[in-house]
Amino acid sequence: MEILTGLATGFQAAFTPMNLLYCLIGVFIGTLIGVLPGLGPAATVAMLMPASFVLPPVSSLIMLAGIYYGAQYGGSTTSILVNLPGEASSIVTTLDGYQMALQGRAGVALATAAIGSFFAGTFATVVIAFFAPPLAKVALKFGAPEYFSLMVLGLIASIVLARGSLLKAIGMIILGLLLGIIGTDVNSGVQRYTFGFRELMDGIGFVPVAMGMFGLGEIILNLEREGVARRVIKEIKNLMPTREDWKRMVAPILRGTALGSFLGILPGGGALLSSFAAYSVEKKMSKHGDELGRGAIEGVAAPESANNAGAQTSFIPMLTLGIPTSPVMALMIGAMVIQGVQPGPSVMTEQPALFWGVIVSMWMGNFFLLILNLPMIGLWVRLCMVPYHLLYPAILVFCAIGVFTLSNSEFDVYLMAIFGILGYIFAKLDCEPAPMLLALILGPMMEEHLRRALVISRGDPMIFLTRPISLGILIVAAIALVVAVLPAIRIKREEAFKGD
Amino acid sequence: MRRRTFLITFSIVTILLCFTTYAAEQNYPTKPIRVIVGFGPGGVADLTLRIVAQKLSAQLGQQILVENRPSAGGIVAADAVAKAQPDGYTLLLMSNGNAVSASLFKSLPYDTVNDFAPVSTLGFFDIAMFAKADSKFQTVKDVISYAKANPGKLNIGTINVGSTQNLSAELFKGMAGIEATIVPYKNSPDVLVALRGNDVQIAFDMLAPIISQYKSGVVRIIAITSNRRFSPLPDIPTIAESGVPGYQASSWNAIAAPAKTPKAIIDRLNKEINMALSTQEVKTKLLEIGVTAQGGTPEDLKNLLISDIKKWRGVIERANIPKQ
Repeated sequence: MEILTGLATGFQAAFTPMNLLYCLIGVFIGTLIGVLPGLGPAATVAMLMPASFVLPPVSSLIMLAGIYYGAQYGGSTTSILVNLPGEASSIVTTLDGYQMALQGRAGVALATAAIGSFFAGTFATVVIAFFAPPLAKVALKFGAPEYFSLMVLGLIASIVLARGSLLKAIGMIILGLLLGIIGTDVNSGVQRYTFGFRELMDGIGFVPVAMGMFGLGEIILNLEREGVARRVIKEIKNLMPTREDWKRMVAPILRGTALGSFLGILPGGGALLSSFAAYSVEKKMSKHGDELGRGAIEGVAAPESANNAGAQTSFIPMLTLGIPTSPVMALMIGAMVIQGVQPGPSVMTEQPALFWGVIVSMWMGNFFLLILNLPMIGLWVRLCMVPYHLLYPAILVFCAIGVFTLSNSEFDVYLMAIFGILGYIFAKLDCEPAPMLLALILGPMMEEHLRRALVISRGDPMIFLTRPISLGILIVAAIALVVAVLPAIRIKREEAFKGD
Repeated sequence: MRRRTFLITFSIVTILLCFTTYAAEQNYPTKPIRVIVGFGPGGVADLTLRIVAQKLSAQLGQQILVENRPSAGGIVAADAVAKAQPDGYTLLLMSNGNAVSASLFKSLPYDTVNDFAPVSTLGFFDIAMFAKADSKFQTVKDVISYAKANPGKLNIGTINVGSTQNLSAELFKGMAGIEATIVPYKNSPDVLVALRGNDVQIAFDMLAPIISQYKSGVVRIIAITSNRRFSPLPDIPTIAESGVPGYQASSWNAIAAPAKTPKAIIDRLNKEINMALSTQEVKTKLLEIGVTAQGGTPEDLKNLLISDIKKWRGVIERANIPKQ
């Protein structure tokens, strides 16, 4: 009953013409910056924050939130069209999304992403409305040992991401972990492998690497083939999913949404893990699992639903505990404070209009995103028809601008160029960049949590087994490892026997 | 004759040139001013600047652009400003982080004291020592006596090694003479989660992100680290008055320009900043985020910088933090 009155308050607060307008503005800006690679929601929210001071708190929060989840929507567009993940969460989308585009199914991929995101967004909104306070308590149960175990699970799941050789995938994971070591050590403050480059003190950023390995690497590959048979996109068949497509996307969307809704609650990396996790789950659970990586619709539907659900539920710790789960949330908390709203556990009781208004606006925003994005698909798809010699310089320029704006540093642009060349070499060697990127993201976090857990336990590694949640996750990780490795070993053995 | 014409032309040109630079200083600013920030958007120092910049833009009639160049210790940002044109259009958001870096790093590409022309402080922000609301620690004395009775049992959470918060905890450990483990976290939310999940028993962090948690009754602020109480929370004692006399740590931020910036521009900026800081609007907004607005003269800032470099050097050496 309480929730119903709450929702009613929320509808009243959110359904004013002004708030609807700010919601629309927010998701529109979000979509734009999501489409522009590199330029992320954090920079945009920071720039718009002073402007939002003049708005009432509800409107400004609705707008800022719209930018955040709008960006998640937009990020998938470039992943699908030009193999360029704009956000960490859309790396996985490139795997099948870009393959679909190459097969002339870019429209279907984009529509699937939009539909999956809309469903996930709607579901996650309901989750927030009904279960926010109890779920927030779960987030507090996650200390250093639990996070470490979760990262281990994530890393093992990333082996599944690889399409080809298991050995190469493990090699790429180790490379990613090694790259992740670069930077300042959290516990002692000592610098590792920075070779005197101050820009490396905070480690290698994920965005330059992802844009280099995926975007630039792909451009070099395409240019190489230009003379022979360019990797042209075949004629565009249909824009909207067919009956068969609809049938195949339902289960992945449901699974992705459930996984994303849960992982999104965990501050620090939860939302990020969700798209990877959803993809890995699909690969093992879907009937079409073996098609993943070659343009299967499941490979777009699941991770896109997961990352949008995660983006939404990551508001739970902020709204109920006052704990931001990402830099964007930290900025939003800053905006709330300046507006005179004390974020924290009391928001729900003291500012019901704000709390419920934002929640209801999220559902509205997702609806806006759907009607904003579906008609745009035709336009985006036509982008694929632009002659490549015109398209690729534009992509290069946008990548360079995007990477530069991350922290206004030229160094990142060079870094992207280097990883572009590496991406090309790895593509030639049939090594998948996705497991490496995941390891690059997870590695530093894993180390940080491992060492912190050991500091807390005064060096006793049993802490990972005595804490029940940590133990549970580690058991799942062990099972996942067996599941991931067994088929490979079996195939190898069969091959070996055949060879005899 | 020719020589004379030359001399006259030369003098006229020189005078004109002087006049144009003079005019440039008089008309300053004629284009947007960039303030480079050494950390990402969203932190207390960044928010402080954004609030003041909004007011300053209105006063100066030129946009103040905040440019975040996050890097460890803010070195990249400081270096960029130290080597920028000293024309008043590139400024640095300086903080006591810069004072810490001066001692924390083996070498810096700039001289923290001599390569910058100080303009004015913007505000001071307190650091709080806090525990969970239902914790058995009510006072600083409780913490000290627990740590003395159970050596090595106490966990103190802070953000990363070498941050002001981390060094404040080190300073406390040293001055109170206790054994405790300082657990470093990546950011403030992580510290808060660790505290609420009982991984650490107390924590040191900026007052700003804590106030809302305190007001909603989730955490208990045990003490404030600066030498005076925080005006909106008059009941909370300082650490110095709770049994660790002489303890003092606080954080500040300020505006600085490249060293050779003309004095006229520095003075103008100083005047405008102090004016902005004295408005009720800015004061209130800053207090909301736990910052006490406080301007001052360029000399005040210089003295503060020098004395803080000395203070943190001592703490870093006592805590045996390796130089980077």
